Amino acid sequence: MLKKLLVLSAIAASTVGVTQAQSLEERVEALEYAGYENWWSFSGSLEYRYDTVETTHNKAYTTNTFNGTSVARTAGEKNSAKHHRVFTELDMAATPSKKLSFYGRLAMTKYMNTLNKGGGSYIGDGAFNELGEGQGADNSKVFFERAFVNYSFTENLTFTVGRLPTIDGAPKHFQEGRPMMGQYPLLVFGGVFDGMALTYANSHNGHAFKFRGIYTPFNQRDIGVTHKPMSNTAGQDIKENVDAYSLMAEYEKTNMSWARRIHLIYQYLHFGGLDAFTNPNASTAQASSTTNFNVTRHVLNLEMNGIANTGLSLGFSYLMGNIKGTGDFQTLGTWYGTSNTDLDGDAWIANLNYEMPFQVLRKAILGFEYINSDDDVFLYDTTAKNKVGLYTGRGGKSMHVFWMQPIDQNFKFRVGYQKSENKKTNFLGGYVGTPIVIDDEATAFYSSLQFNF
Amino acid sequence: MSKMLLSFVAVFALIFSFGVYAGAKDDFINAVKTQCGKSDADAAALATPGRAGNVIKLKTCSSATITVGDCTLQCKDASSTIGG
Repeated sequence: MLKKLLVLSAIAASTVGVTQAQSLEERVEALEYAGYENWWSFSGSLEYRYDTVETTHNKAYTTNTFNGTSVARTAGEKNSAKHHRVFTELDMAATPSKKLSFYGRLAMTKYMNTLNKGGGSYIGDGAFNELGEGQGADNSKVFFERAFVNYSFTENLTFTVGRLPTIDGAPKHFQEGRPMMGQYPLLVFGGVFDGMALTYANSHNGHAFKFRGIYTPFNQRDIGVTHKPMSNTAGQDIKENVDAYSLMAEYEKTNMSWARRIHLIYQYLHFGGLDAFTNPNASTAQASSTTNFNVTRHVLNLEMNGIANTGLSLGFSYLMGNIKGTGDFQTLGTWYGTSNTDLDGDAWIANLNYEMPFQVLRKAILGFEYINSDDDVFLYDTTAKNKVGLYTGRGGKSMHVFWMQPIDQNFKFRVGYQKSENKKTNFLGGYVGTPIVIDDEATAFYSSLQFNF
Repeated sequence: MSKMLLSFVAVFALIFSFGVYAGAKDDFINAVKTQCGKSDADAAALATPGRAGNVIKLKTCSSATITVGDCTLQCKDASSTIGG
């Protein structure tokens, strides 16, 4: 009792200055917010999604998977499959001071009740699995899909380090009816990157600018032997860290006569010397690799919302990309070819969303999306919810139409149709060795229930 | 000693809470002024408090936008941007 009295007295005494300056209403208001906003806050979403997918192979071809399985397609072959999946995200944020903030997301994505796995296994510890952990359908494992801190040196300059929010970037949020869901535009690279960044943000007369440099070193090492680098079959040491770095510029303006908002992102990304295949613990044939992969990308992403004072939003994303492959993997060749490659490949995505003006429809959205890509483009989307390869087709045209219906503030229902084309692949895993001209087509109807909490 | 510690924690928590409160409301008012061209007074009038108020509505919104009065505000997800 005495302790309580002392605490109450201390609170009363220490807040005399504050309370004198505030009305009763303001104090009550402040106390309400004190209850809602602590250092930690949590939110999240859960989505159930059902896809029916049909794939047609209009040309015959044969490829190999990275684990050596041969896959033969016959002309006119058709396959269909149904997918029940659950996606969960539990977001957490901590703001212990005005300078420091932490954001984390625990994520799990899985097929429902896969009681017979057909002898297969989930990707588990595959080479690239870290880029999609938590969002790639697996078992019930929970991953930190993102975990990073922002530390503000000044009002304008912020340092960020950790597992960064680089997946599900623009324009994926168009179809979700959400704010931008990831920092890297999808065409830059659809994977989760760990790293650090420095952001300078400022605004002038309603024009907001951000400039950002990001360093995300890729590791390539025998995780069982951490005291020395790996060697490839040519006896060369493999670089332990491949420097992947990126530069970004962002511009945003709101409240214009012709649109409610415009948002522009330019991003440059480069890494070189990635050896994804050397494996000193594999058999001689499997370990036979001297490949190097080099990627350079320029991406421009434009978004306009509330055009002509209506619910119309448009988005356009353009990739100008180049890849270079050297060396050899299992005498099959290198990235995108049988000998050294130096290939340009571009792609673009156009989005149109129309938010219905009728109140009875609760801001329902009708959306359309169109994707076009060159034969030799390198596209990566490890966290795709779609099952048709909507954003990763080479040399094809893909489209997506959907209806997003909010039921209330926390519940959305979405139905959609997707169609994608893929005109080119490579013999090994789609990425390495002899280029093959194909004519694949995939279509899907899907429905999705999304709950936000 | 423990009493002093308790008092300190209580006072610190209260002061900190006031600080955070000001941030959320100020962010809302700034957003309304910038995105809808409202005056200080009009923006403050829209900053209604409480669990169902506009300030919390903007801070926790999971849709692309929210509408408060005649003003449509862009929602932002700080956990999806690098550097805030």
